[in-house]
Amino acid sequence: MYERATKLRPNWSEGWWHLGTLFFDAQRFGEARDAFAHFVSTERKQPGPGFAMLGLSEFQLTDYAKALAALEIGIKLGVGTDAAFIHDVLFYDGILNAQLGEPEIALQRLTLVANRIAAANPEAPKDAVFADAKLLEAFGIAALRIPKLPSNLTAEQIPMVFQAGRAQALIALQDRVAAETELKQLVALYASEHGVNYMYGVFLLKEHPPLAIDEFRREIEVSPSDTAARIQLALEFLRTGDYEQGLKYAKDAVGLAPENFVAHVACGRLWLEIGKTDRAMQELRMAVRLAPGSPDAHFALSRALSEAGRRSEAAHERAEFERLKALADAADR
Amino acid sequence: MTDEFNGSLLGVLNPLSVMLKRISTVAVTGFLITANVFGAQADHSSTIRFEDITARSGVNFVTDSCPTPNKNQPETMVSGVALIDYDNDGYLDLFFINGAAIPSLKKDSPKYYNRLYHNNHDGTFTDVTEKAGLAGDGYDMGVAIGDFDNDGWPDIYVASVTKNHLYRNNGDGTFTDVTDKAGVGSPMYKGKKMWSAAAGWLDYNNDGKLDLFVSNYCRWEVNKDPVCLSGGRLRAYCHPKFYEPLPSTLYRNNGDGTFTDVSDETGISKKLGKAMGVGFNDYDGDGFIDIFVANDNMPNSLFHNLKGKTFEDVAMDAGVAYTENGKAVSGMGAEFRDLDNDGRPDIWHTATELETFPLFRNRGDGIFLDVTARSGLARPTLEMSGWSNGVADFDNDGWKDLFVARGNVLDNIAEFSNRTYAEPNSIFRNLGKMTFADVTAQAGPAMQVAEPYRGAVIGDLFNDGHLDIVVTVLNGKARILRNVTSNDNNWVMFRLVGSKSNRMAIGAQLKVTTEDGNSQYDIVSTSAGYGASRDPRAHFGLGRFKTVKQLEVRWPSGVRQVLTDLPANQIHQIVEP
Repeated sequence: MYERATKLRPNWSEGWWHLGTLFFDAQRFGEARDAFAHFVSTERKQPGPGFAMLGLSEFQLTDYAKALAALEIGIKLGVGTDAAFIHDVLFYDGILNAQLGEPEIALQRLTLVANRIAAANPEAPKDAVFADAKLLEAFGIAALRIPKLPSNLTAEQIPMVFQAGRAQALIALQDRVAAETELKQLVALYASEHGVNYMYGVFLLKEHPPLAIDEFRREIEVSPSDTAARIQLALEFLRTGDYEQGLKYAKDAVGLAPENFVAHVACGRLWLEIGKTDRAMQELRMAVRLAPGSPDAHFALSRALSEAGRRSEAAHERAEFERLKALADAADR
Repeated sequence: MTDEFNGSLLGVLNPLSVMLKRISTVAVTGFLITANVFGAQADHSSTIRFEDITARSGVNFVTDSCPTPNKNQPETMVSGVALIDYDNDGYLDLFFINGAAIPSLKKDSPKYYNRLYHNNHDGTFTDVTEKAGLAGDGYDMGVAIGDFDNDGWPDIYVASVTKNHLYRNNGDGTFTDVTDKAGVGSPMYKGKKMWSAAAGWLDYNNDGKLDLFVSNYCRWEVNKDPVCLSGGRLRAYCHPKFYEPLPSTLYRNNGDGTFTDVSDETGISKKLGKAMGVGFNDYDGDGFIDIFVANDNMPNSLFHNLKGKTFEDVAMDAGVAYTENGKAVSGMGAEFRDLDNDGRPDIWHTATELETFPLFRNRGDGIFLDVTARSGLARPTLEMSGWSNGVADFDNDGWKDLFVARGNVLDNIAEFSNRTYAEPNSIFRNLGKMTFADVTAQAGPAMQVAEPYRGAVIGDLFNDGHLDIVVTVLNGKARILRNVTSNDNNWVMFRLVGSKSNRMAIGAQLKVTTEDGNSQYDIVSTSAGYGASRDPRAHFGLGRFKTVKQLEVRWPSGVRQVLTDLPANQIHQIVEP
């Protein structure tokens, strides 16, 4: 009936929605994708849920990049109030971000999932979160920065991933004491595995920052080409005023990952502190080229330009920073 | 000698007309005491030390914020403490701010009273609250001292969650609540009285009358805070992002006991924030006082004063809105004074753990540089949660040091984190060249005591040239920390009396030059830290120098006064010519 109706009235968005959900439930994902694509092109008021369903359909069709893009738009526009639907959207967005190399965003999404579960189970929030094995697995993958979907984990990886997942779930619930116990166990069992020391280091940044430095250094020993650990070290040394040490790691990170804008930001900020304003501007201009939508890159460049006395350019970068930050803040809200 | 001094000072502190008959241009009321009261060694860099004298002082003030399971946001923020010589006897008295019952937000029990303690000059204090009429009635936060009517008697403004209050000092040990007549009780936004967290007095238009700046925090209603869970189960005070911001308020003094809200016409209300500490200084040297406001998890404000008529927020362009990584931090206490003796006021404000306490050096061209890391402050402050703070030369070596009152925001933080609610306070010694060292560990046992500190104020309680500290503890006893730093460094203090300028000389700029040609700078301002009001006298450490070669005062009226060869280790009273 909906097929006929949408043929007769191709602008009837509600019809496309119902048709899409019917196809989706029948696991006819290609047809579901097409129906939701029609829906988002015709629906003017609330297209967010349609983008989310489009993303879930693409996921089933294993076109993961398209799936993530659609899910991200859906989240930005709002996906309604149905708790189960929100859970699924955030969960799939999380595992896709982890798989496609954005573990920090993955952790944000999965933390929202955990918080929603906790809020719905006020008597025993931790038990409720721990009962969701898929969520723990997803947390573990993202926290260990394993660029895989849960279904692609090897059998050997699974115990480690669950151990990390439990720790990350506790971090999400802000029970950092229990999280540290889990993390210590994780490090005791899997210290030679990629991502384990890094994960503990990130945790320690908020608890005992000086100890975090040791963990990031261990991560580099385990994974000699690791960029993220070097960037963390560079930023930590920047924060504490140890600029020469920081610059060493930042330069290494830029060498290993010249497309990573954060590495350039760290490097540029360190050059600035050392008084090499030209070098700073060079790195920070590169950061802005690589990530024109990053408020941080524009802010750092504005500081360097200001230091160099290039006031109008600095003002331009500050304005861009403020514009992008306002957008990011709005998205956060 | 002390009695003689008191008599003299009482005389000159009578109303202005009387005073002017006795003093022409400058009165140097000698108050010579032995700087080395504790048997100093000949060491200009000896350790800064404090002793807790609360137990024998007679001060037993407890801040009671009425913590409830609903985790009302104000419960974690009651802070205010002021140093005020309310009876003009030459000694600073203490005024503490207190909370109220929840949900009534009324002081329905004496345990919630604000308290005034009279300084008995012998290290003890007497509670004179009831006689003074200062107990208050609502849920109070911060305090600001200023002589708004220029009668020579300092008045009190209390910033509050409920109605703010202005108490006029009657000069006989009592105060009159003149809030309604003055029109400063209810700064409004969208039809509701705003939650005021702090306030400060300044003369923004240099007309000789003190105006009033009020920091307003966020939109809030009792028992309607969102539910924020930590550890997945424990209700905790919510992050400020869950509350809507507010504009600050500026009241212009009409000179007849009334004020006009000029927030809109001056542009102050254009900027929304979650304002806490406020500091005043003239960062660009144009003769008009600018305003720095530390905002909680929102960009800070730096209101540039456009010739006493309007303000523009230049924080972003000046580089003080965010920290060096482009993040807005939990701005709490704020100080706006020159720390590197270059004549340009710098900004230092507190924040919470993992943010560091940002230090912005005034470069002199309208730009401030975030020097937190290179100053040595980043590492030690990284894991601290700071509230009120203060800038003062504790060891009289000629460099202003830093003090911060610390304590975590969350009373149940230890239940889901490795952090603790109680933290010890910290002192950072100024090593020159805008570098600092954490010297807390050497500052004596009193400085090692962990509590949920909130308020802090600095001043010379004993007129001995050593700057003392009074701190408040949330739901605990306030502490008086006497400065017992032992060295042979010299000092000088100036009590300024305005004639064309406002009587307290708030906003006056001082430049002290010693025989070696080096200079120090400070401003007369009672505004300090978070919700605090400090010693209005300007204090300078002189190191080995026994005289001030030259004192230059730039009065708010524009008058420039130069005095030479002033002896050290005295409190000098300077009257505006």
